[in-house]
Amino acid sequence: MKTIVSMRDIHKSYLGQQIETHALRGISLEVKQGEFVAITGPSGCGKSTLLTIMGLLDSATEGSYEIAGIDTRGLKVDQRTTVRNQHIGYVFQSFNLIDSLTVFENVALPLEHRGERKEVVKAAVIEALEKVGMGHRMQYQPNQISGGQQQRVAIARALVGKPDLILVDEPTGNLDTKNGDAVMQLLLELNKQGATIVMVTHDSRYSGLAHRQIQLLDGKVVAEQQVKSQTDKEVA
Amino acid sequence: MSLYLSAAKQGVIRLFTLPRLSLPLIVTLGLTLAAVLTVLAIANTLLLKPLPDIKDEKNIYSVDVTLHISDGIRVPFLSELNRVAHMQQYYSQELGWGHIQVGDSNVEINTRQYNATRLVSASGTPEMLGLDLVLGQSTSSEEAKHGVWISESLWHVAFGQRNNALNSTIEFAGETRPVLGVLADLKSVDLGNDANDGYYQVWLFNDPLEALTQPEALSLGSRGLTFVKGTAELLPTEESLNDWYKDYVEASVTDERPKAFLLGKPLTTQIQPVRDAFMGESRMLVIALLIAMISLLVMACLNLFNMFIAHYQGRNKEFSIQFCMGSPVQRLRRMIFVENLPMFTFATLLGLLAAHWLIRLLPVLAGDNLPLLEHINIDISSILIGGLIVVIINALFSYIALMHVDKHALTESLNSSGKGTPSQQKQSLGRVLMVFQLVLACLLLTVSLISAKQSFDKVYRDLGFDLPNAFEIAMDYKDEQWQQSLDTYEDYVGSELYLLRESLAERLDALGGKVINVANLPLRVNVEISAFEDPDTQETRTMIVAPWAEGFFPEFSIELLAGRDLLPEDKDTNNVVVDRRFAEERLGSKDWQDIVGKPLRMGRDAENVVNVVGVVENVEPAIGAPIDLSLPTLYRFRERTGSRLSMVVIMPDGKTLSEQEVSEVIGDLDARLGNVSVTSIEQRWESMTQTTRLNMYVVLTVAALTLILAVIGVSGLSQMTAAQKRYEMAVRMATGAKQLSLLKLLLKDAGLMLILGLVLGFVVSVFGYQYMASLVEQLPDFTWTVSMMVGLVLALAMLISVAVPSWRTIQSDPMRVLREL
Ligand SMILES: Nc1ncnc2c1ncn2[C@@H]1O[C@H](COP(=O)(O)OP(=O)(O)OP(=O)(O)O)[C@@H](O)[C@H]1O
Ligand SMILES: [Mg+2]
Repeated sequence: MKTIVSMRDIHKSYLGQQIETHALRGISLEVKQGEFVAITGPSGCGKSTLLTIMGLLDSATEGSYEIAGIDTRGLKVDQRTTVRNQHIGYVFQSFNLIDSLTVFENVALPLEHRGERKEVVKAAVIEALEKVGMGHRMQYQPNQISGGQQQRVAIARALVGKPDLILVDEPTGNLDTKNGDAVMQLLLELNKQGATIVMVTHDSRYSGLAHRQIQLLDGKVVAEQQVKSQTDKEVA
Repeated sequence: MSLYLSAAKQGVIRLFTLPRLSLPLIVTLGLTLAAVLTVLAIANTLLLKPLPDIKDEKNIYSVDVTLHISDGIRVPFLSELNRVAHMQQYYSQELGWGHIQVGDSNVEINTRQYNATRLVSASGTPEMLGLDLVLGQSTSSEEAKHGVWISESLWHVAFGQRNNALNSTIEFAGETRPVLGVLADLKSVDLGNDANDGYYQVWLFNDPLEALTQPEALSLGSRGLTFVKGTAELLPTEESLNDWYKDYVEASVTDERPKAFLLGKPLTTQIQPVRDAFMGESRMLVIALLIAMISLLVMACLNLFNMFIAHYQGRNKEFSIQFCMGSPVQRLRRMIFVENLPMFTFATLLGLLAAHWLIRLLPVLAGDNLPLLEHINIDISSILIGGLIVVIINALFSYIALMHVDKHALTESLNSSGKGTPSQQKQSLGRVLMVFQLVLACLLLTVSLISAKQSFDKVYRDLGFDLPNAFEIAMDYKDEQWQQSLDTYEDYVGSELYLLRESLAERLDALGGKVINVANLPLRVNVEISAFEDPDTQETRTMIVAPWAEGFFPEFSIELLAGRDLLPEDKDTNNVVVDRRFAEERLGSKDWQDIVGKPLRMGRDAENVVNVVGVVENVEPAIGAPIDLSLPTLYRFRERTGSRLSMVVIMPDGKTLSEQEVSEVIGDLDARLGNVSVTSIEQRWESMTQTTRLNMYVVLTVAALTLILAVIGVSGLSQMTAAQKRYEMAVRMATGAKQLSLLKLLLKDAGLMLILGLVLGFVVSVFGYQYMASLVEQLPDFTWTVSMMVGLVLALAMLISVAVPSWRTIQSDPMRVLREL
């Protein structure tokens, strides 16, 4: 299996006005193609921080990070953007859809920035929206659809470019059980179809559905746990 | 009430804690307000307030009869008292008349010399104008014609306001006269440069009835001011003044030739309120300034509006919550008004203070362009107007600040996925305002740059000669009778004036420079213009007659185009050199060289024939003269006495001449001469171009301010747009947008506004300018190159104003927004 994510001794400090927060303290991990990894841990332990670094939204203070064989150290802003665009789909904890664009346009963003032709974009966007069950709301504005629907649109946007890696931050945090279950089902489906997924959650029901759980505490990996027969498991 | 109190307290605190908002507001609003208040104060004094000296101005009119001798040359006809006296007889006896002939004079009081304006008037004129008599007797008294009246200012400096002035005598024009009275300074009529000399005026009075008995002198050219006072129906009309003129010439001019000349010339007559005659071009200048300053204020306000909108959009949530809690929008508006009051009060104070200083600087800034400068001040009405303007602006700001806080916006903000990030707020208002501002900026820049270009062309045009290290040395004639006698000679060579000049030249030689025996530098203060009827063509020929001396052409690099220069041997002949204009006027633009060797008749007299030996290039004898002096010029070896005895010396480079140095050499030339002065050609150039250059600087400052305001406005708006789009840009960047494509996005976003503003601005300024030029004569012709340049510069400036703040936002790691959520 190909290695998608390879992190070595990642450190991250935030420099505040007075205090320096050491959010990550030497994290090393690997994610192989087709894996479904869940990152868990108490609030403030550094889960989101790790994910933003993995998603190239931020850079580590120390350590090396390779994604799909590309060393990300010393990349310029635009080079990082290109890598992100081609290899990573990111689902934000707070959806982050652009209010002034329609659902369709929001999902089309990664392909448009890639410079794809219109027909290609259109076909891919429709396919992605159908996949998440939002094909009937393409011309709506984000504030005209519900939270669960917004989350599904955000997932469609993450997968539309067929990235090597989909990063998901608390996909169910803002949702009720029913919507949360539906979103989780969707992610499992995508993983079955071949997507590599790294998901942050502190809901043990959902983390248990992953192949592998990585537990963080105070910016360090404290436990790694393989879940054997995930194929047998279903969302309760 | 406590709500408002705490809002006011908040406002005071914000002055210091929010300098990003308060500082630009106070400075921008304060300074533009100062400019507006200054111009309002000027307008108030010049157009509205009663004149400081003339009473009952509504009923006093200025009368002008102007003779058009030739294209460029117009001379006032009412320059002699006997003409006005005749007019007085011609019209209703119920009208009051006044007449003043203006001239310069040196007066000596208690052995001190003063440069004064001499006002030779019809007796009773000051009383008719309503000028206060400070001291002494009426100007219509029996002794009037033997004494003088002096102005209050002269009385101040010469007599220290003492009453014993009345027993004193003053010396002037070679005479000693008793001071019979002190009159208030005459300020509200155009006396030339008088105001700059501190209103030192000396009045002489003549009885108009006596003048009536004197023969017509047939002289033209001196300056005379004529006033008439009476009710509208009795006043002379402009047509009846034409009739009077014919009547007068028929009755008073007996010689056929001058009579035909005078009756053959076109005439303009004018009767206008005394204030209009005095203000002249200043009125348009004031109105133009007012429009320009108000435009600047509007532009500044538009910028501040945008800042305000941005600030209050940031506080949208706060107001939405207040609104939810049941506070009526009206109350919120009033709270914002109160909150902003401290800031606006500071702006007003700064405005008043700056206006006060600006007005003090006016004499330096405006110079001769505006009259009555010393009467302009910031008074209660200015303070009230300033306060009112600011209150209105504040009210408007408070209204607009809350435009988007309504129920609609509230639900929208709750439903937004953007977690309160103002990603969706409307900017249409800011954009419309910005388009408006761009149009205004375009117009203002076009007008100011076209007039700046005109001034520049005027100041820095090719004069036709070089400016070597030349000096004009002059002495006053202390004896006017002697001065006049010098001018009467048969032949110049050998005359008393000739000999006087020769000995002056000899002495000046000792200075170590090259003496050129002409009275004036090529940049002249006095120009002798001759007009005569060409006996061959019956046309009126107008020309400048300039003295020639050895070395004049080569030393000033005035190019010889044909023939030869005059030589010392030509002194006793009628040989002359003419300029190209002269030659072309006679022989056309093709054969003008043929004039060399031709004898020319210079009038009807058979003897008056000159012989042209050479042609030189045209020169400009003056810069910024009120009349066009680009006239044909004839150079001959002959001098006039002039108002002063003067001569040109060219010194080696780097060497200057002081008055003391020169006095030592020529001080004892003749007891009847005194008061040596030295003027370098640079000083002459500077004083001649001063007004025009100043105008240019003022206009360029207005242009620069306009551009700065436009740049601040657009970059502020772009910064705001970029900040508001930070969230969208972050999401786009997270999904793969490169920095350049984000910049493109922001540019495209602003593009429509910019293109609309610039195109509209260009169109408005092209048509608007031409429309304005049709209304205001002083405006120079429209220039496409300047207009295009304005468009280009503005477009470039705007592009930079959008690109720089946008790029900075893009560079500042916009994805932080996402991580912080
Ligand atoms: N921009 C920032 N500046 C300073 N400190 C930060 C910043 N972002 C996060 N931190 C700190 O880094 C640590 C890790 O934060 P992180 O957001 O990664 O936690 P988390 O595990 O995602 O928590 P949660 O489960 O509540 O989302 C925290 O202590 C937090 O205070
Ligand atoms: Mg988190």
